Amino acid sequence: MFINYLKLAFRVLLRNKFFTAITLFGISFTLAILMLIVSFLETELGDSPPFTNRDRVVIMPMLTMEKQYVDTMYTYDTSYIEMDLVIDTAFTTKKAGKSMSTSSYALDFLEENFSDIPSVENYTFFNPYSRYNAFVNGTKLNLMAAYVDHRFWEVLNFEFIEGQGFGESVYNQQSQVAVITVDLADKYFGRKHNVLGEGITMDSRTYKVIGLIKEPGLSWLLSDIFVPSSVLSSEDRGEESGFGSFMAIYLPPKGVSIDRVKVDIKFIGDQIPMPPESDFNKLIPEYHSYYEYFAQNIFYDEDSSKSLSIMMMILSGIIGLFVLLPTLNLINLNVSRILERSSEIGVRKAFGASRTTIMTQFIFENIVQTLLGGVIGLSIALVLIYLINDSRLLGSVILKANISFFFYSLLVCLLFGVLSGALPAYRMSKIHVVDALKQSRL
Amino acid sequence: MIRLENVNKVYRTKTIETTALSNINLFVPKGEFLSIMGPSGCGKSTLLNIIGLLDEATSGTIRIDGNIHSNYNSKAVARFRNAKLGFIFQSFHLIPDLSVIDNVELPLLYRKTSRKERRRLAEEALESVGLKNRMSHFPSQLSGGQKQRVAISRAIIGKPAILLADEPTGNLDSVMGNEVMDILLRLNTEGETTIVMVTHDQNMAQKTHKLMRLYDGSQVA
Repeated sequence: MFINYLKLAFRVLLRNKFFTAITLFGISFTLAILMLIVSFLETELGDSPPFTNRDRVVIMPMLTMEKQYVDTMYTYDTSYIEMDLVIDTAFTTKKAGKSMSTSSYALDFLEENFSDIPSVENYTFFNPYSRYNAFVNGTKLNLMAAYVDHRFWEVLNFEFIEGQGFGESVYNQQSQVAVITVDLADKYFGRKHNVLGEGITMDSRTYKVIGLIKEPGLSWLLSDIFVPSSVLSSEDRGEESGFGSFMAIYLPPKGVSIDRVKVDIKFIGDQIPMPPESDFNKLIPEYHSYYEYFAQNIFYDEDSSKSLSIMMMILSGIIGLFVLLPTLNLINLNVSRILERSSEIGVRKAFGASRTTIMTQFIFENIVQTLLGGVIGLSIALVLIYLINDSRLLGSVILKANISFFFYSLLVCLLFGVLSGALPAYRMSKIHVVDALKQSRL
Repeated sequence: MIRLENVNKVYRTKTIETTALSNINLFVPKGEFLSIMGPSGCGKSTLLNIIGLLDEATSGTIRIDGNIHSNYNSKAVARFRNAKLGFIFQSFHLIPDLSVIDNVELPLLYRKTSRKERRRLAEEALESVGLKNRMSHFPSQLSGGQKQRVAISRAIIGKPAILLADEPTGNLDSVMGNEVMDILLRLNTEGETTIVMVTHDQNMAQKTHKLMRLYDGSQVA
């Protein structure tokens, strides 16, 4: 039966080529845009390298120090007792506001207080980016450097093209080594391979390249050179107050909820004493899941789960609009296309087709049409992804087109096909057989 | 085989009530060829649609092969039509995007018949109307008479007990019309298929076993 439907679907598409071309253009354009959104989300939120454990990590990007101010209100009650003036004084206190300061962490502060979290299997402290200038043959080159520890290469799964990250001993020896991205290798050395052992000069230091990686391609990890944070001076490691430019990523063992890690972090934060000379009296470490952190970077809210909800709502709204508007348009086109075939529906019903069979046929035909549009849309999306990545239109974000991307794109196509086909098919399946046969176009 | 008792059909709108059929009583035994005649708009096609379970009577009882279908759901009625009834329409109603053989196979799509078996039966049905050499043609490539023969093949492929033909020769010239009529007569005599045919053509009607005349929705003979 489905072979018959398939044949018919193609013949119907070929019958009115202009109509089909317009419909396919609409479908493929819509799907191409949706696929770009899917690709962006897959890049930022999917399980692709270097974040292959996105569901399991807790990110601790910022530290907030807070001081609560208290207002005291005095009440005077005067009275005369035996001609003497008596004044009763009472006072109440209430919260009047707070001052707060937020920044990333000092490396020493992290190592001292947040190295030993019971629910964590591995962790890394790193400074995600510092800007430097480098000069290559007299041309200025902007470098984005990350200062990382040796565990950085264990917690994150970078795709190494050459060499590898540095281990604990190299880190402890404060060796001047670097892992660089292919893009930087190309800009600095003029080639995308065979760069191991070469020197790269940054901030008056020359680092020996020991690893070459693909770009992380994430909007919040922009670095193109990764060097050991052990080379930093004590000044660069952060202030005594705890503020600096480092952040932490924690990875619990499989099966341990990230909520437990969050509870542990909060507990440790509550235990850290504030020095009496400090301007603040409360320390609040921020901690988020990967997705909350991503949302926090776009829609900041003190409560990161709220940021995530807002992001999900806006994202669903955008995707919904992108699906809904073309779907409505396609429904309209489909209704007129199916109306032309009402006498065919009449014949099919007369010869024993049930309403479900009629609906199945038209939804199937619509899915064939949508998948065809999907293939064209996919080709457009792949070209656009290539052009966007090549022109660096999204900065350091490298859009991905992997298996998940294809899977989600297929899902989007099917959803689009079913949504835009179901209503016209349902309407037409309800048409009375005699009325359908009177539409004598056959 | 077909029994109608006190069948009425009334079309109602908010302001108008139109009686299409009034108190129709009819019995067609197995293997009979009945023709229904009458002027345009007298209710012939409505009656045929009611017999074919394509339309519902306003009142009265319809028994086909001993079954009363008024309480059946639409799925069961569709199944019954597929198994027991075959339809031939004046304007052929072939699906233009399907080839001749795919059109003929159509009723078997709604049965659990294998693709191979469908092909075999379709070829057989087309051979019986002399169109085996037109299997891969499309309806637009056929003459009117050929289209109607394809429509007959489609109607008989499922070996229905009853064939309902709504002016099967109405769109054909007399030669083609006679060819189609001969096929119907052969199906009736050789296959013992019960046939109910609506026609305007007295000559065609005279070739059938029984003639029923309708006038203004009522049975006059």
